[in-house]
Amino acid sequence: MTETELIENCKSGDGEAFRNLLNVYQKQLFGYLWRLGGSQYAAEELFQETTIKIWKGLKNYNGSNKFSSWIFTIAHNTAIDSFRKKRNNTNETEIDENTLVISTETPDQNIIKNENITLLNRAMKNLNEKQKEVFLLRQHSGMKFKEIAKATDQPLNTVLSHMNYAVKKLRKELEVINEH
Amino acid sequence: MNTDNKLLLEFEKEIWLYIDKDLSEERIQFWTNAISKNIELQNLLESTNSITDLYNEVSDYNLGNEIFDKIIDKAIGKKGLLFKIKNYFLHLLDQGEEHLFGKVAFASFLIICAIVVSLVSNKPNSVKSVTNVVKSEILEWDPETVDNQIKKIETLLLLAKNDKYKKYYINKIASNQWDRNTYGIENRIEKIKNDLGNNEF
Repeated sequence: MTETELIENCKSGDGEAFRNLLNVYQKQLFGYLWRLGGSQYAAEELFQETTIKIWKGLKNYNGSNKFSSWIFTIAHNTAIDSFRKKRNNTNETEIDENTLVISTETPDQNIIKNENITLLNRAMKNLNEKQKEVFLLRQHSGMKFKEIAKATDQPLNTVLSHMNYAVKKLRKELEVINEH
Repeated sequence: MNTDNKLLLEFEKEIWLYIDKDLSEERIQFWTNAISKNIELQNLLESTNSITDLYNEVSDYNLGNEIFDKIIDKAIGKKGLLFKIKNYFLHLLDQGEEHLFGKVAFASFLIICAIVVSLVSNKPNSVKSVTNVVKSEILEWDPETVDNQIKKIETLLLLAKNDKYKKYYINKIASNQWDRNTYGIENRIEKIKNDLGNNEF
């Protein structure tokens, strides 16, 4: 079944079609929320809220934008709303590194990957909220920057600027960490 | 500022649109040519892609099928009666605010309490008012008496339909009327006699 057919079935109340539809985006969507939320538990809560909103909102989805852009916009707004309520946790998202599940072939690859994760996590702590939002949305949703600008309600140049600064900071942090 | 630096700064502004191929054909061609001739532009593009590639490599988040299924089940309302009821009311009201369900639940609770109180509380004795209207003979239902009465009426009806009884009854009425009439005539004759006195015809 195509995505369009699945969406139509979902609008008719087909729960299994919804399961199949969201299964395609499960990893990326959950990964995005995990990175934003900072822990497996927070990500699961956000994922649940997002899923409910997607299910309820499907009747109004008219296909004017890509389905992936639409669901990631919902995820982004859900996360931002949640963080506003829990204001104290917004800037201090301690990534729970132990809950990352790595699927690699060899133990050596596993070690290297875990090291990279650690390095990246440390580097990402230096991003501010806006830079992190744009960077994560781009990496997980595959949205173009014009779509990200619309989803985050920011001008295109601002979004591009956030992304540039995010990548520069990460590059710089990774170079510094590697030197040590 | 030399040309190369200017070009580098300009490319920094458009690099993401170039990566997304979200520029005009001419502009994409322009940058492709520029990158092929300029090592700084090549380094910038390469280092930018390496960061995003590294992130994609280590981003392997697994929700797990079991948790995913539970989340979907909850979203579509497959499990949990309360969740279904909540979604039903939210759908009816076409509202997304969760506190509306609380209001509806509270209102329902009040209605249920009102019903329970009305059932449990003392009501005026309706039996007395009935006895004021209906005679005691009916209330004190005696089947034998009622049965006898019914039989009597049935008998009378049968007799009324019978021709001989009709004649008898008519005659009885007529005979009673005849007796009354003759008695009346006798009285008048006596009176006339008295009025005439002792005079003889």
